[in-house]
Amino acid sequence: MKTLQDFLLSFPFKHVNPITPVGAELINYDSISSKPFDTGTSSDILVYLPYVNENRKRLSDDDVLQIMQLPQVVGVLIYYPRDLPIREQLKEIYELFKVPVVHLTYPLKETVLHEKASSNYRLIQDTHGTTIDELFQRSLSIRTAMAQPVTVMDQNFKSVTRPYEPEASSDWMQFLIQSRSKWLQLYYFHPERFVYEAGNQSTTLSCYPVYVQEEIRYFLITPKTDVEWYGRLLEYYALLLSLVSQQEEKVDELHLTFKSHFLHDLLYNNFKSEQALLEQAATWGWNLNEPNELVVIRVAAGENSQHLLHEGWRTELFDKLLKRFRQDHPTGMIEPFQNDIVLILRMGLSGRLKEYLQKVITRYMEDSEGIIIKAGIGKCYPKTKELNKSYQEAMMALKLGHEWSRENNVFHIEDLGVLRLLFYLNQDHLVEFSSSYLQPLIDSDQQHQTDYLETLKQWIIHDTSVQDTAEAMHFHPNTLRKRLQKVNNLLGVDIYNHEDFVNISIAVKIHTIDFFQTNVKNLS
Amino acid sequence: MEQYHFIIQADRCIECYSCSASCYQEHRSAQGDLPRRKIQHRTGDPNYPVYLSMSCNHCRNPVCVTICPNNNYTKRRDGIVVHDDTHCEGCKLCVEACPFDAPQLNPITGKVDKCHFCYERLSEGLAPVCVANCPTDALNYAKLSDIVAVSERYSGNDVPISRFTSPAIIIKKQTESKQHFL
Repeated sequence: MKTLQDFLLSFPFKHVNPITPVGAELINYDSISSKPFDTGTSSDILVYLPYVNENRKRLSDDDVLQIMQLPQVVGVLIYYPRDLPIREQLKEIYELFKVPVVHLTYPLKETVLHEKASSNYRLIQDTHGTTIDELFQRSLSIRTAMAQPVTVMDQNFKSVTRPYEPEASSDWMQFLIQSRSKWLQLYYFHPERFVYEAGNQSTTLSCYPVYVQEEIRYFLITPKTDVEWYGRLLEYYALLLSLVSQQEEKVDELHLTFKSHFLHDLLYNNFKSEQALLEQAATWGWNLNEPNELVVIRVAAGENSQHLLHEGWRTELFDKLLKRFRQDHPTGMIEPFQNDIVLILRMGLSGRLKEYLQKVITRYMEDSEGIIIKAGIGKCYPKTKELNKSYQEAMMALKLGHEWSRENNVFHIEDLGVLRLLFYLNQDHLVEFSSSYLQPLIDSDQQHQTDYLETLKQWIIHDTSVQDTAEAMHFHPNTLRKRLQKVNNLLGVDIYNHEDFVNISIAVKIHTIDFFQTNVKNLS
Repeated sequence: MEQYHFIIQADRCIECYSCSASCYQEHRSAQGDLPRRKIQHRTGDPNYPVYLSMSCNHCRNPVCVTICPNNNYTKRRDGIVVHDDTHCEGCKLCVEACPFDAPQLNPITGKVDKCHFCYERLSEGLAPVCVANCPTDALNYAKLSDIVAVSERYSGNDVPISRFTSPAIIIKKQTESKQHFL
């Protein structure tokens, strides 16, 4: 004996839209007929009708009403490839006769050809070109067919499906909202346990896990049911969710890889021509035709706060920053790249860019205690192909600006002054120049841990203000004066003399650039 | 993304110049070309001299890329910094700026030449010629994540080397001087 439920489970899921409940009881039928008035009353029939017939006449609710009055009719299937206009009227008719009505968006005759390979064919049909969001919305059809709530929850036990209208303030929704914190606490790290213990909840549940890449990504839940065909329907729905989300994740991964390759090629000058670069950028939806400014944002934990930060803080902060920057600059190119965030913005912001970044960074640093956010800005080049230079300059500004700034978190390459120049000169000459001035201090620092170089550096950073420097280094101004006197004696110069100060200041800056080169000696 | 790194085991280097000689033989194409790899003497303590076989370190922030007025330098997806000398004017800015003396000016052709990690050999599954010819395995190479923190890359290393360009190089610690016999 054939049943309506078996028929629905063999038909491509994406093309089945129950308008009324199908019911828990199996509905038997002998044949499917398109001419219900011509068949006898001895056998049960499923009526199959196109919404628009061969004579272009539309099916009306009166037609359906007449069909339902026939005693041999156990169900009605209506084919129409779009939304059915008489949906609400059909629901009212159902209340009178309790004969289920199902809207099919795919004609019946074509599926008969595939009957032998129906299960594979159905799976291919259901996964081909289907997005996960479309599938989430399909839960409403299941809910209608089963006449009970069906919800898809993510790993955080948050519903990802839109609730059925009358359900929005129902007991089921209240139950989900109230249980969420408890479930998070108990099952967040043990999602399998939630599946096993679904039957023990205050509202007993049937739970179907949706696995994606060997871990549970979604839970499909409904109030406990023992109806066999409901189980088969939900299992199939969970399988579809799993296949489609796996497929989407793979596509997303691929998309990310290609995007990161493009960014790498852009920031390291790997394009043969400017034209090739612009064309590829356009495929990603970025218009790089005009001169752009490039910013690198770096996020790091403060020296003493590493242990205070929770796992995943970086990803969380990155997401927040990316969201904010993308909101503020919808046409900009804002992407994570090699542990930093890279912003490529049209030149319009020029002049205000530093202020804007400083404002955003200060706001997020206030929100996230113990986290340091810094930004480096490169020069704006007329050609897009030169963005690689701008990127390197932004990185340099980040590195050196960080060493030589008092309070700022945003550094423009042009603010580095003589430091920028030093970066390009022959290292051996620079080191020789620096050592010729600072060697006595380097030796003293190494032998007696005197920290004279750091003192001198801070004094230069703080515009030779004794008060500010002492405050920054947490000691008394007199101690600083004494140290500076000692530095004078060791170097044999007068650092208060303008000419000596300029030379010493440059020597200290060189020393900072090449800090690592002079700090390592002991090979024993 | 992962990028190629040179790995130097400083205490295995016997200063035999095989790396330099093989590089010269492989890549000499014009009169005036110089070997792209050189052995540098780095020393902190004169009793323990360190021999470092140095070439281009294919830095993460290569200064040559920033400074070249004709934008002749590119960094491939595998991290290798390549110099295209078609438009090179021999201005020597990169030669002066590189902390590792990697770019070298050919005085006869007037163009700059530098190590490109033997990328043609890599694509054939072969090691760079300097690595392949090192008799003591002091020189090696690997493809590693370029996001590894600097401190991790130089763990236990006391060799003085400039790091501000984030070079893709790992130098294993020099423990004590050893006598090698070939």
